[in-house]
Amino acid sequence: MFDTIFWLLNFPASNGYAMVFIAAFGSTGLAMLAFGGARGGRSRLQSLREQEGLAAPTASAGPAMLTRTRQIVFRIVFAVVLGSGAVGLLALIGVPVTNAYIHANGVETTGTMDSGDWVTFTTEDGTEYTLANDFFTPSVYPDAHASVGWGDAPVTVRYLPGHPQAFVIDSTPASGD
Amino acid sequence: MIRNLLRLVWLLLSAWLIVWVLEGLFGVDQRHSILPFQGDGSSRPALFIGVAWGILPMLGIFSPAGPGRRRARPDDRIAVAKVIAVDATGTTINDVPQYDIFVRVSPDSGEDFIGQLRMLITPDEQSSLVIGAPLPVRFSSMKPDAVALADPMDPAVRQALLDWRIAKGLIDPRQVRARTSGITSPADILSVRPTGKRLEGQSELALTVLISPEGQTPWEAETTLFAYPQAIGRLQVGSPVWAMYRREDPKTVAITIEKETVA
Repeated sequence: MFDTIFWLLNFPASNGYAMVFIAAFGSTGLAMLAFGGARGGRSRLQSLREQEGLAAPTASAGPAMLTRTRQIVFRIVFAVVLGSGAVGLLALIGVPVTNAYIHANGVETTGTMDSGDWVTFTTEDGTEYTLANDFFTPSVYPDAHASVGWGDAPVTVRYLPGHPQAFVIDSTPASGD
Repeated sequence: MIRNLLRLVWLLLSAWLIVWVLEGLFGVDQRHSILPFQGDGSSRPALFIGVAWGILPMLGIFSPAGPGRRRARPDDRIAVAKVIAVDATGTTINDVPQYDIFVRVSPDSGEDFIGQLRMLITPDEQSSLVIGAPLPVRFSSMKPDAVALADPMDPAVRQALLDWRIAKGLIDPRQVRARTSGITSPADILSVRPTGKRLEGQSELALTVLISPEGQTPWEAETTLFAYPQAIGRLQVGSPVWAMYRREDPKTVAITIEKETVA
């Protein structure tokens, strides 16, 4: 249960830089779609048609329903984007939103790094994962600014067993050396 | 058109972002993405695409389209519409406020419908836009939501409005020939009497007029005329009007307030 939540939270946390921008620019437009006025030009035309008794009989319930559904969907998207932006911002300023949990509950394995951007490790079931490690929000814990995996030195990786996409690189000296 | 194009772009960007999120959550080998622009695996493409995706809805591409601006098309039809509501949109351009005018259009054939026109109206024109005021409009039967104002000075529009009046029975069938192909002469009203008949918001008047063409002996004629309430003030005893008649039948007369030339 917690694994799933932190796996989902780990995505905005590990892409914090992009998430902050998306939330900053996207939330206004999404709020307009989610909470925007239902009284547009067309609905005024519609209400006048009804008042004059000239409404097209087919165009009554359908569009209102559609508008309502769309509004609810956009409210969910709005909340997700805003939440992702908040998580991303926290990750960007160095709060280990998900890394601490993954570090504490992850399965340990050894992996390699490729130029700092990519981490490759093999899980217990034998699948080889190659995952991105963002420059601005590196998945390194406890010391996010530690330089790990330079050269071909192996790194210690901890991943959530159910969702290896949520991983951290262990920066404690004992494992790094 | 542009709106739909931008909506399509927005949907494509949404699809890109959804795939990006799904690949981030489920991808096993994230170095190889199925997405375009996702070459080196940095989050920069996602950043730009996400920002564009966020800005597009702010341009109002999902807000309900207004009536838009109507361009005159050759297959436009002309009819007289009645103002039923006038709403200020809140926009002013050079201190001239913009209004949404809702009109009930009664086309010469087919049912009445409600249309909308959005226009700038200067304060001195606003007084003429009372509810119930007649407006000549052009519309297309394919897209009746947006109508446009027709220019009553345009001869084609005049002809169309005359056809509309004939189709609606606002010109007595016996007067049609005089009205469409008669001689125009100055005339004066000798007597006015409402008949009590009403049609399309116009009232019928029975008139006696004295027709006095230049260089001819004046003669009297009886006629009827449908007029808007706004025009009745110009149809009083003594008012100068224009009479149209055919030479062979000078007793059948059609009256106009403004001088009409035969099309």
